[in-house]
Amino acid sequence: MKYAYYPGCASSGTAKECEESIQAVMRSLGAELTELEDWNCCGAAIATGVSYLLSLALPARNLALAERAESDLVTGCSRCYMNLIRAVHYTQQNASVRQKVNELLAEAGVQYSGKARLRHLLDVIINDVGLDVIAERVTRPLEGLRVAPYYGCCQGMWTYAQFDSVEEPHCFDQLLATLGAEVVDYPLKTACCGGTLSMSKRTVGAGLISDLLAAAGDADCIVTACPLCMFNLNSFQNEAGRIKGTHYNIPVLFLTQIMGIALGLPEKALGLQRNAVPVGGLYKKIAVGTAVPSGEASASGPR
Amino acid sequence: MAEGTNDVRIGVYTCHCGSNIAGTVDVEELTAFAEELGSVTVARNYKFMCSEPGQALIKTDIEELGLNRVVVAACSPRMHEITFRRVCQEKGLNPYQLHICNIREQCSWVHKDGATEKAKALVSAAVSRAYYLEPLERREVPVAPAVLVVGGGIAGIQAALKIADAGQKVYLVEREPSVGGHMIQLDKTFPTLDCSACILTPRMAAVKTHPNIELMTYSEVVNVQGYVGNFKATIRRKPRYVDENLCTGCGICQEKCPWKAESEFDCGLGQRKAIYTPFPQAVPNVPVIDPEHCVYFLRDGKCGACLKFCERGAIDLNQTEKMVEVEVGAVIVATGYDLMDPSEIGRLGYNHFPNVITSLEFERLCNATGPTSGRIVVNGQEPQSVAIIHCVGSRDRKYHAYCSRVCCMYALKFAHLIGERIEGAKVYQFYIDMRCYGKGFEEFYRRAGGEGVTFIRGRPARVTDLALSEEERGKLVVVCENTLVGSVMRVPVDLVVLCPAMEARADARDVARLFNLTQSADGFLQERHAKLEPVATANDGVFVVGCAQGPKDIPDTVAQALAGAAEALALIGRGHVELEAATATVDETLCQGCGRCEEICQFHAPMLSKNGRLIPVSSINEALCKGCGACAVACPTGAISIRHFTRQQILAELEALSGVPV
Amino acid sequence: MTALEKPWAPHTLERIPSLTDLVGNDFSLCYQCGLCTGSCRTAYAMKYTPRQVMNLLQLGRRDEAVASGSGLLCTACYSCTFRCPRGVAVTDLMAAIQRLTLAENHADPHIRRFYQAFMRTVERHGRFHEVEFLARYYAPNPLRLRGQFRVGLTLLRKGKVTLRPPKVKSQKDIAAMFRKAAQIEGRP
Repeated sequence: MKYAYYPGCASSGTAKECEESIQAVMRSLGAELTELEDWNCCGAAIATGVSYLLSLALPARNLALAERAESDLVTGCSRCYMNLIRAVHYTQQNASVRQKVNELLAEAGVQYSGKARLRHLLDVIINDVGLDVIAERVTRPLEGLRVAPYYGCCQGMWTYAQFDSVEEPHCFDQLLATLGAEVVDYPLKTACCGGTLSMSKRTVGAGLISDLLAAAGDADCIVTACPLCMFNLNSFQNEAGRIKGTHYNIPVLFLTQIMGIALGLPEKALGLQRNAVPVGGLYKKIAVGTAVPSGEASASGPR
Repeated sequence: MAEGTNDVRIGVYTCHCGSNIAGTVDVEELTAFAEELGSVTVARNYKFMCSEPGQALIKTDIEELGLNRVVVAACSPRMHEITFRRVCQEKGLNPYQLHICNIREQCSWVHKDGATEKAKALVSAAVSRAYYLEPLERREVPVAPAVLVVGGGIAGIQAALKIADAGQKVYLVEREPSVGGHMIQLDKTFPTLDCSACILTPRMAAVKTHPNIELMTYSEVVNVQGYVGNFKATIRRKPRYVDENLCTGCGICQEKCPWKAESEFDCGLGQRKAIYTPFPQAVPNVPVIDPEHCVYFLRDGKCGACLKFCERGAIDLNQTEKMVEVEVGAVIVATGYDLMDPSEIGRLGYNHFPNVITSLEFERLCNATGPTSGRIVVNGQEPQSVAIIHCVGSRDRKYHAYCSRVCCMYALKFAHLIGERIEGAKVYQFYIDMRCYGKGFEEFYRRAGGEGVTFIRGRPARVTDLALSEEERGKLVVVCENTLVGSVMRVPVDLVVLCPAMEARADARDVARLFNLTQSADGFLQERHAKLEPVATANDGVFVVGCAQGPKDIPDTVAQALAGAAEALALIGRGHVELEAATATVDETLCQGCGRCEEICQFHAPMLSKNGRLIPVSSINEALCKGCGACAVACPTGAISIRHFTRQQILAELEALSGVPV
Repeated sequence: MTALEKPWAPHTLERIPSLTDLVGNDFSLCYQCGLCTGSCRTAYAMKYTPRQVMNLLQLGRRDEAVASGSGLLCTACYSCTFRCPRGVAVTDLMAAIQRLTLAENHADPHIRRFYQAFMRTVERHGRFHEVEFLARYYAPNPLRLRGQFRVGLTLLRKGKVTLRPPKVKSQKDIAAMFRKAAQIEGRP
C-alpha cells in the first residue's frame, strides 16, 4: 500500500500530534506514505474568501503534482481533503473553470488533467487496510473506554459520500468498535465545529464548540477525524464552559492517536503529550473498565 | 400543374398551425413549390388544416378535382393522421392514400434558419411517396366482450362497477386477500370528512355480488398476450388454503390461531394471526393462511388449530396455486401507489424515534379498526402536541421532484382529527406552500386551521431528542427556519407525523412490462397524452387509472376510473375492432424458410409452417403484427415487405430528399 | 478591490462571473423552503439567513446581502447544499458573497486583516506560516493578543509552534499564481 501524502500546513504546527500519530500508525499498518514533494497550502478556509480561482488553483497544483507521482493522494486533514476534491469536481464539471484554473497553474509550470485520485485517511484505513487487519493488530483493546466519535462536517458531502453515508455515517463508529471501545451515542457527530470562526468570530465559534462538548455527555473522550476540529475542541474548553455555565475537561484525540493507543504504540510516537487537554487519565480507564463486547457499533444517528 | 402518369392526382395542403409552422416556414413559398412538383394537381395552405374549414378544403378538392392522393404538411401524424384519414374516407378516398408530412415537430419547431428549405425537401419526399401509395383495406376482428380490471382499490372497484352496470363482463383481479386498496386504510376523507369505510364498503360488497363481476382476490396477472380487442391474460390464483365456497367468515380460525405476525394492513403497528383477514370488513370475508408465519407450514404439520375448530371444514392445507386464463377486449390497470419510506431521510428521525410516524400509520391509529381502536396513542400516551411535516421526499430533487398533491389536504384533516379527539392538543403544520386547489379545499383549510393549529412556513432541517432547555426534555424537537419571521425555531412536540411522497409501486416496472406500458420520468405509468388522453396508454386497449398514473386524491381517482370505464366500454361496445392495415406480408416465392423473422418478432406474428411444401414458409398473423418492420429488415431474401411502407415508397422518399436517384 | 461585476439594477439579474462560473449556482431556482437555514449551525447569528440571502439575490438586491456579513459566518460545512431540494449551491453563493463583503469593506477591519494576513504568508512561502500570520494579524492591535494568550502559551509549551518559515522550492510559482488570479479577477 503506497500513497502520495499531503500533510497540510497545520501538520507542522497546531496539528503536529495528528501528523505524528498518522505517520506512526500508518507505518505500523504497513502503509507507505510518501510526502508529496513541494506541496503548497490548499487554501484552508481562507482562500475562498479572497479569490474563487485561487481557492481551486491552490489545491489543483497539488493534484497536478500528485498526477506525476502516479499513486493515490491521501490526506488526513478534512479541510484539505475538501478543498482538493472540490478542485477535482469543479474543474471536471465546468470547462471555463477548468480553463481558468489551468491558466493559473501554467504560471506555476504545471497542468492538471483530471487524473489524480484522492483518498481520505479514514477511507484508506477502513477500506484499504481493513478492519479485520486492524482487529488483529490491537494489543490494548479499549474496553471500558466510552468514546464519542466526531466525524465533523467537511467530510459530509465531499468525503463520506465517496465511501459511507453523508447524513448517517458509521465508518468511524465501526473503527472505534473494532478497537474495542464502547462507542457512545453522539447526537452532534456530523455537526460543524465552526472551523475558523473560533478565531475570526469568537462568540459564534465558541458557542458551537460548547454545544459539541455538551452533547458528548459522559463520554470519556471525543475522537475527531479532522485536525481543525481537534484544535477547536481542545483549545476552547474554558470558554465553552463559561457559555454553558459549567466546566469542561474532556480529552479530545485524533483518530490515529486512539488507534495508536489500541495498537500499543508508544505515547510519544503518537504525540499524546501535545494534546491540550491531558489524555493520561484515559489509560487508567482502559485498564480498569468492565469488559464490553467489541465489534458492535452504535446504531445511532446524528441529531 | 402536372398531370401525372397513371393519372395520379395529388393534393398538397400546408397547415400554418397558427404561428407554430407559419412563424418559421414560409408557407406561401412552400405552397408554390409544391404546386410545381410532379403529379401535384393542387396545393393550398390554411391556418388550421385540422379545423372544419380546413378539412372542407380537402373534401371539396377530392370531389371537384378528382384527387386520389392527399398530402398534408402539418404537425406529427400522431396528432391528426386519424382526423385526415376520416376526411378522405368521407369522400370515398382510401385512407391509406393519405400521407402526413411532419413539418412542425421535425421542422418549424426545431429550426430557426433554413426551415423553409427543409420543409420543401420534406414535402417533395412526401409527394414522391404519395405517388406510390396504394389503397389498403382494414380487417375487422370481433372484440372479446369482457374487461380485465387489475387492482381492487377504489379506482378498480369504480371502473368495474360501471362496466358491469353497462351489462359487460368484468374480471377484477386484486393481489391482496381483500379489495379496498389504500382507501380502506383511511379513517376520514377530505374535504367532507366522510368516513372512508362507510363510503367504500358498500362498493366493495357490490363488486362481490354483482352478476357481471368475477372477483379474484389474492391473485395476480402474470402474463398478457394479444392485441386490442383480443387480449389473453393468465392470472395466478394464490392458494388461500381456505375454501372460499365453504367458508362463512365466522372468524373462529383467526381467534384460535396461536401464531402472530406483523399486520401489513396496520403498517406494522399492530399484529395479525397467521390465518387472517386483513381487516374486519374484508371482501371476500374469507381468511388466507400466510405460510411464512403458519407453523403448520414452517414445522411440517405441527399445529392445525384452525383445522380443528372450523365447523365447515373449509380449511384446505393442500390447496395449490391455480392458473386461470381469461379473454378480454380491454384492460384497465388500477394498481395504485406506495408511500415512500422516509427512512432514507435520516435527519427526520423516522428510524430512530418511535414517535415519528408516517401519515398512513397515523391513519391506522385514528381508524377504529386499527391497533389502538381509534385512539391516538403513541408510547402509551396521548400526544399533547403534534408536528405535521409536509413535503417529505417530495418537491425534492434528491428523492421525488414532484408534488405529492394530497398531503396538504390530509395534513389539515389530521389537524382536525387531533383537535376532535385530544382536548387542548396543539398541532404545528410545517409547510412550504398550502396546496388547497380542489372543490371545497380552501374552505376546508379555513375550517381546519382554527384554534390550536399553528402554521410554520419552513422545511424542517431535523427532528432531534437532544434537549437544550427544560421544556424540551423528554420531547422531540423539530428544528426549522420560520421563513416568515426569518429565524430558526425549535418546536418541542410529543409526536411527529411525516407526509411522505406517494410514489410509483415498487414493481411498477414489472407492471409496465407486463402490459406493454411506458413509465413517466417520475416512475408512474404513463398516459398517452397529458391533457387530452389522461387514461389511454401507448398500448391500444390498455388504460391506466388512479394513482398508478400519478398522485391524486379520491375524487380525481374516481373520475379517472369512470373515464377508464368509458374508454373500455367504447372499445368493446362496438363489438369489433379494426386492425391496422400497415402490416407485414410475405412473398412466398422468395421465402427460404430461414426463420429469422420468427426469431426477431417481439409480437410472435410470423410463423413458419410447411403446409405440404418442401420447405417451411413464413406467414404473418396480421392481428398480432404491429408493422414495426423488424422482420422485413431481418429477412435475407427480401421476401417480407410492410404494406404502406414498401421499398418503392421509401426509396422514392429518399430519392426526393437526397436528390440522388436511387 | 472588487471582483468584475457591475452593480445590479433591481429586477435584472446581471450575472457576476464569479458567481456564474460555479456549478449549480442558480439561485433563481430557490423556492424559499428554508431547509438550508434550518440546517445551518450559524444562521442564528446572521442578519440575513442563507435563505434570505438567496431571496435578496433573486431580487437583485445583492448590496444588502453583501453588506449583511452573513457570508463571513459560513463555515462551508455544505449541509445546505447537500440538502437543498432544488439543487442550489448555497455554500458557494455564500462564499461569493463573503468575497464581496471583504472586498467592499463591509467587514470589521480585523476580520479583513485575518484573511489578508493568512493569504500573504501563503503567497510568500507557499504554505501557511503561523508565526508570521500572528505578527501580521495582531501587529496593528497587539492588545487583542490578550484573548489568545492562554491558547498561545499552550501551543508553545506543547511544541506546536514552528518559528522557521516553511520551505517550498517553488514558492515563486505560487506567487505567480496569486498575481495571475488577481489579474483575471480584476483585483489590484
